[in-house]
Amino acid sequence: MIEATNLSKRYEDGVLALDALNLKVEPGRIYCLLGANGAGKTTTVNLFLNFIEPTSGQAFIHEIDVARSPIESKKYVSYVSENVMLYGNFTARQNLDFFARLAGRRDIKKDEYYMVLREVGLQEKAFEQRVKEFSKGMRQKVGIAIAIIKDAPAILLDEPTSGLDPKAGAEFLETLDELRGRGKAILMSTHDIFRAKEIADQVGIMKEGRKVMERTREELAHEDLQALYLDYMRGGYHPDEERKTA
Amino acid sequence: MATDLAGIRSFDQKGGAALPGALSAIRIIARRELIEQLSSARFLIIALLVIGLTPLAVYVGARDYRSRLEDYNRLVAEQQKMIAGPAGKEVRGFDIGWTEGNDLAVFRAIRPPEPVSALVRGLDGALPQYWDFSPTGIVTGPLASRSQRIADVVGHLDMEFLMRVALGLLAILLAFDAVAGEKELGTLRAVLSHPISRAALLTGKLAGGAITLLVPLAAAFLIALISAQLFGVDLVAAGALAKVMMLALTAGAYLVCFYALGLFVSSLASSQKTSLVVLLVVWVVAVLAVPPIATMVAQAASPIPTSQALETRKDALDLDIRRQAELEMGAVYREVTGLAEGWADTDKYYANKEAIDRRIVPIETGYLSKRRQIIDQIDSDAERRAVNQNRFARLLMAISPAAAFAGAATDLAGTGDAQYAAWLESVRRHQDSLNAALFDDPPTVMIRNKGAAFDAQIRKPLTVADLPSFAPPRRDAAAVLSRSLPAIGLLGLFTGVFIIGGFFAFSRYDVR
Repeated sequence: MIEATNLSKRYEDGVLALDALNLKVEPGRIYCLLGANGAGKTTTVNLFLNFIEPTSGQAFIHEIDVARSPIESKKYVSYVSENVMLYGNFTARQNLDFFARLAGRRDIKKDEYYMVLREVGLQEKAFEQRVKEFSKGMRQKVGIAIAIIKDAPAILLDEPTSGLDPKAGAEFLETLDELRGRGKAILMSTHDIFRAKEIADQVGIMKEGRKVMERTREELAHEDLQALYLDYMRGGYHPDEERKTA
Repeated sequence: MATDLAGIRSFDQKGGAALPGALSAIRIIARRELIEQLSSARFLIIALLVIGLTPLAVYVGARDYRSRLEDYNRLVAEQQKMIAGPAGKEVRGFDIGWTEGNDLAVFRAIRPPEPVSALVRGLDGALPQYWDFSPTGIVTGPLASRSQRIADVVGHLDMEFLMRVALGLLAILLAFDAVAGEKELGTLRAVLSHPISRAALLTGKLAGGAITLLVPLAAAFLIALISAQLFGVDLVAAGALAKVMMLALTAGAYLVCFYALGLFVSSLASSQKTSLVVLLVVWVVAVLAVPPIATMVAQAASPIPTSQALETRKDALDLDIRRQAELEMGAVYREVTGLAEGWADTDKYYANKEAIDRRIVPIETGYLSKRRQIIDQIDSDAERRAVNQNRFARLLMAISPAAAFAGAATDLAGTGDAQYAAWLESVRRHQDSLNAALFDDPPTVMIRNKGAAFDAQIRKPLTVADLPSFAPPRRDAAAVLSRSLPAIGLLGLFTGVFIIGGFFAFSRYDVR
């Protein structure tokens, strides 16, 4: 489970990047955070990964307070970023092996790495190629393979579909669906309203550090998410809506 | 797209993944660093350069050493011959260089060249071949190596140079992007999203970098040992090998020091470009600028006269007061023997020896006492200036780990400043022994009666065997280690500061 309670972050320059965020992602659910640049989506992800300390409030991964037990909490979370970060001089399999070992997995055989890479849709010939030659989509697949190997109950995705071609994007959503089916709690920050509507069990819209709207998949069945999003972006802050969804 | 991981792992929802222990995490990071660094172009280029230049450096060093060894053997043979001749059998205590029987070269302290100078030249070729001892003090011999104008200007290529300059540069080139570069690449976030502490991550990087640097270091020293044997310098002998091993360990510590500095700066910089620029500036200042600037500033602040100038001054002053004493003794001789001015008759002296000696011994003692006072004053003044200059230069150099390494490496090789100081100490001690045993109580004095002069033997002449023999400073591995401890300690201090600074900076590093 991924949970934030009154989570706030004010930077040293006084900017309030996140203002009393409350959200909960249950196992087997996908939560999409939508919002423009600077809305606080990445700040939220950074707080869940303890890359920054919260000013107030708490972030929980698998019911562990991230700020209090950062290393313990990271046992239960996988992270895939917009540009999957890999070691360019290592092959896909070597990268997988390195991150698997960091996650505490030392018993995985080469064939098992291949199996996971195959499952995320990476071409066989790329398994032992240096990843510096990889396209963004291929790197994204290796990033997902790393998350699968770690097999943590929570997954944080920061703009994972940004820049992916339609085919790669569709494959990515398929993989997310698989992970949801295995009971993972997934929090994904994204600009992509269409993919969010397609995959999310819950959607939250953020603006200027505040969550201004939250809808379930069922609620969205009767509403136009794109229109809602644009309305919130144009119309400014809606305190009533925020209260309703809090 | 169904991913069946049942065969790979079963995730325990209560206990989570098996957390890698700190040591295990460090090992994983270090292994990755090692693989990445060893295959990098910068590593391969500089490591191959160092490994390629090592035999050349050893060849030059070995040739120079063998040449100095030949000179040393020749000087020792000449001295043995002299000791077996008249000069060794009757030591008069004053030098008349053109008279074989009076040649004070029988006391000469000849300095053997240091075999490890084939690897670390240091001061070995720039120190005197020998020191002579005379009534007016120590006379410094010529330098062991002939001046090599080009090399003296641009510096000598030896193992110390290769380690300090080339591998020092490699250390910072491997470290500059270790943190800032990973931040830009994004891998820092990826790694820190796993259950690993920042301390373990930095320790792993430090360990990986250190092991990477040890590869060319070990290869270079192995090649150096083999090359030295091929070029006729036996460094596998127990004493020399211990020195070489200590030298290699100190070089390793120096490289870790620079790598730690690189990690420190990389943990402070927001980009790898900034980190590289800062580190290159620090490298140029610490490695290339500080040692010569420190020496120049110290020389300007506390100049010391050359040894030739000192000896000329002492000789001139001695000549004045000695001539005065000889003339006073001549007046006594005239008075007792009744001879006129300008006559010197040895028989007359021996006929009236008791009466003459009773009156000339106080004159001789007065002269010697005055001479000792003047010479001691000149020597102590020069010594004070030299100590001040050396202390000042060392103080200025203490800001550079490269200078600390140069000091430690040359001291360990037995070719450093500490070894020179030990030789000077031994030479001074021997001069004091000879002063007490001979020069301040000579068996023969010269009596001058205006234009005529003769030697008056006031006691039985001594042989070289009657006099204290020269005790050279210890050159074994334990002795060189104890002399190099201050420089090694300083290097350790730098390393500690950089490591602690790196951990502190990285603990606060913004990985976003």
